[in-house]
Amino acid sequence: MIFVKKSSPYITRKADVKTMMLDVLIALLPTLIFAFVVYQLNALYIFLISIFTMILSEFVFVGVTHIMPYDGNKHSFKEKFKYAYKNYNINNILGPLVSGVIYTLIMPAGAPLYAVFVGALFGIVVGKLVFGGLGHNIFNPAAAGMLFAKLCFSSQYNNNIESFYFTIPGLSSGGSSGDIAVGGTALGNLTNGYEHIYDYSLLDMFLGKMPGTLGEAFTITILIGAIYLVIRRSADFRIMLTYIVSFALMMLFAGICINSLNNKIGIFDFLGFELLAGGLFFGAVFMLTDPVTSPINLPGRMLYALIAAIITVYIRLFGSYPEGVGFSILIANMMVPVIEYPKWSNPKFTIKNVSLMVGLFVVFTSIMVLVIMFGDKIAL
Amino acid sequence: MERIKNKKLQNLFKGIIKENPLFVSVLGTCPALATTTSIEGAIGMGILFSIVLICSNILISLLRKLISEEITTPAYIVVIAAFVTIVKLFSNAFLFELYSTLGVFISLIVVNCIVLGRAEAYASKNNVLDSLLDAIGMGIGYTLALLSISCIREILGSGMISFGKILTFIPRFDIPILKYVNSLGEVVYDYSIPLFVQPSGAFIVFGVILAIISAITSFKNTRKKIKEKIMLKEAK
Amino acid sequence: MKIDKKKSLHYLKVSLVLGGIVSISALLISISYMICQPVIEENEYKRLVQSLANIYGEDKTYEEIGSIDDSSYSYLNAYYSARKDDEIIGYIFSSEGSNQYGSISMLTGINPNGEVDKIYLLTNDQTYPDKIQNDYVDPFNKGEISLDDIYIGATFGAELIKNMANQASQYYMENVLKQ
Repeated sequence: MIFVKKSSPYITRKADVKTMMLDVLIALLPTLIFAFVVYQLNALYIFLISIFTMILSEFVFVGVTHIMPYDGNKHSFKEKFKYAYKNYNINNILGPLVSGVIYTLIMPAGAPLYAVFVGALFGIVVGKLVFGGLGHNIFNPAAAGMLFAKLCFSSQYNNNIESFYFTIPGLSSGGSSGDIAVGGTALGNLTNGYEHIYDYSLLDMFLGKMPGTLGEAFTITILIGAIYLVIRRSADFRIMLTYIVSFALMMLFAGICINSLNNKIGIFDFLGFELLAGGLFFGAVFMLTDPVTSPINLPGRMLYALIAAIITVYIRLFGSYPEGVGFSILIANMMVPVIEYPKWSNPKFTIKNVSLMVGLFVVFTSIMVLVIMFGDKIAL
Repeated sequence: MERIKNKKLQNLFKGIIKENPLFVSVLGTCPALATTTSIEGAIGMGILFSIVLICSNILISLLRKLISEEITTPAYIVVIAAFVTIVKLFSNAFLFELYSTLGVFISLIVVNCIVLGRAEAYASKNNVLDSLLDAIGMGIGYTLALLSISCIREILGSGMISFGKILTFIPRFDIPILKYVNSLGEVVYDYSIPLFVQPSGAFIVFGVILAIISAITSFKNTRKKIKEKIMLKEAK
Repeated sequence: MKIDKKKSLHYLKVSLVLGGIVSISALLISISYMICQPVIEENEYKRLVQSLANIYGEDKTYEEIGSIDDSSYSYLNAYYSARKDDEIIGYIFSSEGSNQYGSISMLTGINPNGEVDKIYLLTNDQTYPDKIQNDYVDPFNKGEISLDDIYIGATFGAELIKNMANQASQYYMENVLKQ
């Protein structure tokens, strides 16, 4: 007798695109709420503009690419509309929504609204829709939009937006808004000398009391989101771990070298500062783990995170931009088709894979050490 | 008489839309991406290019019976280079602003694929009048193509259309669209996107225009095919 | 024998045609050169005078004395004399240099005693170029600050400008005054 009309497995967990995107949204919620509390109206306007722009662009794109083919008869506008939007489902709204929230959280609070609008348009159209929409994009659309807005409009950013912490006396310990230099994110101050790493204590930076973009300063909420994603298995924790661990190792070596050149900069203070200042944790948890733009198999993913970490370290130490996470994510996205080329990509760890990763790490760390010690590149 | 007239006019107009050298046969893109940062630069480049194309087409068509197969390439290059040098000297003397804006891209007209291609494919095989009409058509088509790219780039990239900066015989005035600088030098409003006056913006604009043109062409082709199918069916 | 003669005639004809084309082109180019060259030279002189007039005014006559190739004066390019009614009232040095924030090319006016009179910036690619113009070059030209006050607000290019101006003055003292 057969009582059950199904075959095993009988209890499954729904793991499709919709649940993954909903999980990412829920994980982003604490950071988003914190951003609204601290930056109030600025964050609200940026959030509304970016999600409306992205969802509308996707709507228009679906319509334009599904035009009814010519078959000799005349059709009314309603018929053409229905034909074009036959396959418009919840994923077409959730995808741009996730990109929009991530884009909001990496824009600074002082960005003019026109820049936010143009950046969101560029990010969703050139970064995602032109390549084919959900699942076909090579680049992370939020990172592409943020960098476009930064490169074009950064002279119009208002850098003196005071966060909620600074308007209540007694809540901030140490750096009041009067001490912040022009253009003053915490990383931006480093161009005046590495002793500025003592401007904010590590506890301050962990709790988000330093200037930065809307979402990347509050490390606690980012970690809560990361734990939720890992429990629900919607993001690969190995990418996050590889990225942060390799970044920390390289910065440890850099810190040892800088300490030998200038005794006032402690090694672990430097390491803690570089880990907590800037968008490192946010990029590691929400942007690098995007399943569309990262490689398929595990060795590829670790190589991808390693490349991103190396490029972040180089841009932060030797480049002329203070923050390297956005650029490194886009460059690592560019390398993904090479990493997962069928001729040499392998789901298991072979000697070739492991030796390539170790070799890259060793070569680039030694180059970095040599340039710090014997070049004149670092403004001490 | 009517057929001949039609053919000659067709010869003239084919260079503008049907066989536009920049958008249909994608030739000569290097100056198209570099000189289109302003509308005046694009017009100037188009005019200089047309002069070189017309003169070289006429001369090569006059000499087409004398030039034998072995020396076609050096002969064409010498003729084209001579005309480019003459154009350079005259623009250096009388249109200095245009010369210093376009810089090396005037010299690059020598190796522009359009000029050499038209010389080899058309002027060496047809008489002088046909070559002249063909050159005029191609020149107008190239100038219009450059103008379309530079309109978008200048309006989006620098926000205003400036006249008189490069072609100095036009009185100097600006039309503010996305950016307005008043007479005291202060910026009243600025909504321009500086990416579009840089090379990456040029590529984006060029790609979008090519996509639009190819979409329109394929729509027209499918329409034609389906109309023919329907007419065949109805004829049965 | 017949084939040889035909071929050699053919090659003779080909080379004559090519030679003809080349000589026609050379003729056209030389005609246009003769027409255009005086105009080009005159325009160049006019532009030079226009840029030099920013230092001493438009009613003086300017003349190029020479170009400077000395490697110990790495910033300097050329120098000119400024005369009013046949009397030299000063010298102008053109120089260019760069530091980590960008490059500057400028004209330095030096009076007959060797002191730096005025500075005029031709191109300024530094970050925050307006700051240098407003906070350093304009007050110096008006006489409000001296060349050594490089810590007034603008920190980016002031030291570079000061070095270039001093090098011009040094060259003048060493080479021109002693003659």
